[in-house]
Amino acid sequence: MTPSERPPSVARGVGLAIALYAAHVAVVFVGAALARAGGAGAGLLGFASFLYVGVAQIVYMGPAIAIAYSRGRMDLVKGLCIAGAVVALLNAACWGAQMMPPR
Amino acid sequence: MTASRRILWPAIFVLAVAVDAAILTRGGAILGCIFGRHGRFDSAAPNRPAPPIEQRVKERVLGVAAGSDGVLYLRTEKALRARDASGAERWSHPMTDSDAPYPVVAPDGTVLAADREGLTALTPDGGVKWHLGPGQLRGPEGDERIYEIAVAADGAIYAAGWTLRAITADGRVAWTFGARIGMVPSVAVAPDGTVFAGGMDLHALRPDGTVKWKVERAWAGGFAVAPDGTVYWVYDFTPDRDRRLMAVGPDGVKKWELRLERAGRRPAIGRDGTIYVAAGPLYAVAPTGQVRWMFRPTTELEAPVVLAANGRIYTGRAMELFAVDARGAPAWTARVPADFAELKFFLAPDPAAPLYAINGAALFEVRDDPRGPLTAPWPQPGRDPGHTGSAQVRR
Repeated sequence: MTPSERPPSVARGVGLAIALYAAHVAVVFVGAALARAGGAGAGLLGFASFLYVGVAQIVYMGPAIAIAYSRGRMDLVKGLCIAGAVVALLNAACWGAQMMPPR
Repeated sequence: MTASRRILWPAIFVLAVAVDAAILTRGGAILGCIFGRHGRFDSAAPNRPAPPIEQRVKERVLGVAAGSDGVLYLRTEKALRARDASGAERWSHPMTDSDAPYPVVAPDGTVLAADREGLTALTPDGGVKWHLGPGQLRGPEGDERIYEIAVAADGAIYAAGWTLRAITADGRVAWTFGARIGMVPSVAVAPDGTVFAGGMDLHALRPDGTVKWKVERAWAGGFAVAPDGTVYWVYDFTPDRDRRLMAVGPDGVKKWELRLERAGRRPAIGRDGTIYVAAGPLYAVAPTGQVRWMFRPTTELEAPVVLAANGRIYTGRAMELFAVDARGAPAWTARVPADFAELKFFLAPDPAAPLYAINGAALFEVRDDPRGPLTAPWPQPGRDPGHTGSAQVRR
C-alpha cells in the first residue's frame, strides 16, 4: 500500500481504538476462564471492567493517546479520542437508560 | 497546529469519561435534576453482610420512645415498660390495647401513654402523675380515642383522635378542636408553635386553638416538619390509589407534590433538607421537590424511614430490613420473623445503643452501630427519641 492509499490517520486512530476494545473483550474472556479455574475475583474484575468500559478504557486508551500525542501524531490522537468519547457516552447512555424508570 | 487545538480532542475524551463516571456514580440524581423524573438505583447486591440481630422482647410491641437518660419505654399490648440501657426492666404500668402506638417522653421527663381507658401521664419512676379518662377526652366528634400525641416545648400536650385536645402539663384539657379531623388523626408541632392537625383536611392551629389556615382534602398525617415550618406528609387517598408526598409552606401554600408509587408512611428529613420516604421505592427528595435518587429493591418498601448518625438510612417492610447509604446504595438486607404488622425502626439517643426494629411479633436489636439518630431536622418518626412530634423541642 502506498502512502496515498493508506487510510487517513483519524480513521486509523479509530481502528486502533477498536483493536484495543477487542483486546479488552479478550481480557474479559481470559478473566472468565480464570474465574472458572478458581480465580473468581479476576473474573469479576473483568466483567466489571466490561460494564464500566467508559471509565475502564482509561487504562489502555490513556497511554495510547499519550504515546500518539508525544510523537506528534495528532490525527491519530483525534481518532482515539473520538472513539473513546463515543464509547464513554454510549456507556453513560446505557446506564442512564437503566436508571430512568418508565413514565 | 495551535496548542488549544492540540488539547481539544484529549479534552473532549476526558470530558466524556467524566460524564460517564458521573452517570455511573450519581446517575439517579443527575437524571432526576435534568429531566425532573425519577432516577433509580437498582438494588444491586448489598455490599456488606447483615449485622447481628437479636430478638429481645417476645411480646407484641406497639411503639418505643426513650428519655434523655437513655431509659427505653416500650408500649406493648398489655403494659408500658421502662427498661434501662442494660435491658433490665425498671417498672411496668398495665395498659390496655391502644390506637396510639408510641409512648411520648415530654421534655420534663413525663411519660405519656394512651389506651382505651384514656391518657396517662407517668413520672420517670413509674408513678401516675395524672390520668384523663374517656369522659374527659370525649370531644365534639363524640369519640375519646387517641391516635397520636405531640408535646410542645412549653409542655403543652396535643392528643389527636377524631378530636384534637390541647392538654396542659398538669393534665387539664385546655381546648378541643373537632372540625373534620377524622380519618387519619395525626398531630405535630412546628418550630413557631403552630400545631398541625391531620385528617381529611390539614389544619394549622395557633397554640390557643384558633385556626391559622387549612388545606382541604389533604388526607394529612404522619408529619415531618422542616426548620422553616414547611410540613411534609404522604397524601394517601386509598380509593383512588392516589399517593403523593406533599409539601406545604408555613403560610399554608402548597409548595409542591410528588406522586408516589405506593402508600408510604412518615417521611424523614435529613441534615441538608432532603426528604426521605419509603413508598414502594425509597425516595430521596430535594426540598424543591425533585427526586435526588431512588432505591428500588424487589420488595416494596413502606416502613417509616429513620436516619442514623452513622450515615445509614433504614427502612423495610414487615419482615425485611434494608439499610442503604446516604447515596441510596444498598448496605445490607436482613429478614426477621414477622406477623405482617407494620415494621418500625427506632433510634435511641445513646450512641452505643443498637437500632431497634419492631414488627408486631417482637422487638429486635440490630447491631449496626447506628450511633444514635442523625442530627437532622426530622430523623425519625416523632422527630426525637422521646417521640414528641415537635420541631421545637431540643434534643
